[in-house]
Amino acid sequence: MIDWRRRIATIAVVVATAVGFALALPHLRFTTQITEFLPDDASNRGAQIAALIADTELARVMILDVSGAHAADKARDLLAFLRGQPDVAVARSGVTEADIEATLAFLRSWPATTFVPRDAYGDDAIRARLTALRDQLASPAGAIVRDAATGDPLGGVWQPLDMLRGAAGDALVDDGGVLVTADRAHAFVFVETRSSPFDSDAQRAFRAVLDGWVARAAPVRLQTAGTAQFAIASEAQMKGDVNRIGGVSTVGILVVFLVLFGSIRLIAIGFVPMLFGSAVAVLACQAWFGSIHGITIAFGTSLLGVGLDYVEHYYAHFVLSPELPAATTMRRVAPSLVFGALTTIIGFVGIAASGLPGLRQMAVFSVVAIVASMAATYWIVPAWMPARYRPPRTLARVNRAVLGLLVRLTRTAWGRGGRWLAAGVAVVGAIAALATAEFSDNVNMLVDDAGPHVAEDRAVRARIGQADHTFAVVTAASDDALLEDVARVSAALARARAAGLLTSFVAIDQLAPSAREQGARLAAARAAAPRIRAIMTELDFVPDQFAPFWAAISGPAPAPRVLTLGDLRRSPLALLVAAWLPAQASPVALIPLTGVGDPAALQAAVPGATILAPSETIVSLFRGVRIRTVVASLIGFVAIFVLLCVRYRSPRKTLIALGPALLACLTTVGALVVLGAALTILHVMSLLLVVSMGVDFGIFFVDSADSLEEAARTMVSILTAAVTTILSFGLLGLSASPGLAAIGITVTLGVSFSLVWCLVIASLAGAPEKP
Amino acid sequence: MTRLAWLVAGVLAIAPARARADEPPVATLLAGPAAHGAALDPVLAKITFDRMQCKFSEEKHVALLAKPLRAAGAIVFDRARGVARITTAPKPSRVVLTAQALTITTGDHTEQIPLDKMRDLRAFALIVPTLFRGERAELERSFELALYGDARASWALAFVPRADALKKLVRRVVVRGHADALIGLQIVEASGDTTDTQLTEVVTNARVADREIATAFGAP
Repeated sequence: MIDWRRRIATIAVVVATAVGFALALPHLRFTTQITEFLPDDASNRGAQIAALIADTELARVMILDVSGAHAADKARDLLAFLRGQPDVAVARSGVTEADIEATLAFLRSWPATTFVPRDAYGDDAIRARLTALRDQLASPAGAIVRDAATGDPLGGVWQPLDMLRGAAGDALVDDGGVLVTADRAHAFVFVETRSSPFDSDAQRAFRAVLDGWVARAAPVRLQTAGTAQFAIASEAQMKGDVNRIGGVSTVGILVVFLVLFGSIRLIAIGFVPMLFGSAVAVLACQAWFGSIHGITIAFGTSLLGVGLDYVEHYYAHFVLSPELPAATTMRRVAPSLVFGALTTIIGFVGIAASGLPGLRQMAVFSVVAIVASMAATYWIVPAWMPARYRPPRTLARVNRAVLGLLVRLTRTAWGRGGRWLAAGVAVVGAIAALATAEFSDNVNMLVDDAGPHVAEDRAVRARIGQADHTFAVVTAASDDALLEDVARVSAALARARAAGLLTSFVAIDQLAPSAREQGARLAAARAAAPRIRAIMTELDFVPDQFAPFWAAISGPAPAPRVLTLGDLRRSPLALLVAAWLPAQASPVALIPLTGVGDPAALQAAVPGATILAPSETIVSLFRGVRIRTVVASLIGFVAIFVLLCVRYRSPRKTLIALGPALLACLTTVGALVVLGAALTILHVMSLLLVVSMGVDFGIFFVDSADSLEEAARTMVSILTAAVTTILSFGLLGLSASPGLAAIGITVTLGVSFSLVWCLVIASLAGAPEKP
Repeated sequence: MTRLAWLVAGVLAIAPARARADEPPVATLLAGPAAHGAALDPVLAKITFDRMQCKFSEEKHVALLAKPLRAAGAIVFDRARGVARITTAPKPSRVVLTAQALTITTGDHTEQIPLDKMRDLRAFALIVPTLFRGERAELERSFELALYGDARASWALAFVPRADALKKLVRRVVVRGHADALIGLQIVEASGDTTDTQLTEVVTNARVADREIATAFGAP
């Protein structure tokens, strides 16, 4: 009898969900921000710093490399074009005449002592600086030096200019305000968008703006480097693969359903729990986290297979026992389905507790998706099952074949020892392979490391000499405390450079001395005034000609003007200051280092800073993430084991239920190692999925092992689930995205091994007592 | 430390000359009537070269210093490569000025500074090479030019900056000659400091050997 009230209710729920999803769709935000996978606990200094760096201008700036005829002129045109774009916060290149004038005017607006280090007031140092001034006055440049010299005879203003010049490096030259390579073949523009570089929609729009300029300025070639293009590339790659592969696999799954169940209606109903679960999970994540990460989407796509498994298990029993009403069949299999879902959820609870926002989101997505698809399977699917149904012969044939296989496997006495031996050898082999496994924590696992974007990024960065990225990171409680620490770290870095631990560093302290240091410098200058006069006379200077200087350092001191970080951030040097001393809630300085051979030795020599190469640091953090995920998974595994023990109260049944998952994991890892794959966090997460499905298989099998016929029906459902999963993930394994390929290959191997181990365990368990 | 300051190196390098004993002082010449425009061309023609080489001695009076600064060395001009000033005393150094950049070599240290950042200073730095190329129109873009004296006897070409930015640095540049001979330069800075450079042993065009050019400018 058709339960119309229930049908109407299910329609209402499905339609409401669909409408909600459709309304939310335009507002869904996707992200590929790597910091989502950094630990968010306050104790992890490396993670905090990596997150800071990821959010600073260093990560936000996109490098545009213009090449072709008249590259510098084209770059000038591009600069003007970009400065008129609403999403462009900053577009810059080299130094213009106006920049120089503004910079000099700014630096000269501060007391001359501001930039003169205290060690410049020894007799020898004073003599050396005044001799240099005399040489300059004698030189063709005397006309320019002279004017500033009366107020700054010791050349303080040249200190920050020297530092700025050194920081510019030698890779590029300035051609009329545009940075170009020495051969003038490439010109560079640095651009920062108001939108986050991880906002792939905004970055795609900005890319379209750039493409528009290229079309207008043709012939010209534009290459780019920066985080944004990785966000676009990874998202495009993932979306493309998911759509393309998803389309093919959907067709494959439809064919399998049609062949086995022979009903369009069953197919249509079968996809409802999967789609319902995914929609609810997406909405839940958007509401909870504000955006959905690309890895969550990739993993969520994988999880669809689990949602389908519940339906397939139910269908197999329904189709092979058509005489029973649909609701009755559901009541029979529901305990297994719910228990399978429960074990999967428990597995993800550990992941949620891993302390990583990205993993937490994945866990929430998974739990919500499983609960929702489980609920839909239990409540929606039976209401719409046909009252009259003639099953196709295909499934019956498969069922007979599986039954025959089970009979042979379980009733043949000979060979059991051999099978034990084979199983033992496989497990030992897998453990041995596990011991030799290599792990990779490549931060760029979402994009093809040899892909065109990566190659282009490297090529552009190599041209501007940005290949070597290491920083001394200094943090402090306040801006001025930060500047004091920067001075201390700079002194330590200078000693380390003398010891050969690095080639050079940007001496930010020469540009931004702390307030206390500025006071000490003024005091040192006042104390040295008589000696400065004496040495001036000795070197044929006329001390009285330097009246502005004496006025600045002598007499009753008015409160001296003190240069602050705020002044620098509002100055013509703001762009540079933003890169080295980014305006953050927590004051931080990033001192660029070059030629660091041994970071550990440098770290020991400069304890006041954290020496880090961002990419290596993030790799190291990901190593931690991977380990935490494995530990969380193992805890989840133990919890599943306990749950199975509680339910079955039989070690034998518990082992049979857990066996396929456990052995499938081991053999999958072994197979991956044999295939030469370096294991990443995505392999680990995929293994979690394998465990979920494997445990489901085990539970279904144990719960239906009262008779071989029932066991055969369950094996058919497991076989169906395995085939549809492999159809999904086998194709995903062909993705160019290393992340998706890792998920695809791992899940395919894992599900295949789960199926094999189910059969092996069935044979090892022997025939049921009551056939 | 001299980075931006060196931008003017070129000109000054070639800076002024103290008049020969029998030459009238600069002030006397400049007190006379001035000629402008095309009237300068005959004089410009006398000092237009493909190549030029001479020795220089220089005396600079700086108010900040109690004693004048003196320097001596050689100047080499090549139409294609620019101007090189090789100072031999009191401290060896070499300044090479091209249309694009100024290259300063002191001891083992070489520094190149592009000249595209300060339009006015660039014009100032390039007075001498532009003058030796005979490009009056180019010079008139940045300076008011005037010819004093007699082109067949003692004459002086005065350059007064047009731009305020340059006026803040330089009051006047004077190139002096006698008939066909170039004899010196004088730079009067805005501060009142003066640099007088005397040019002697002037050799021009084909008489300047390739080897001299190569030595002065280094590898192209």
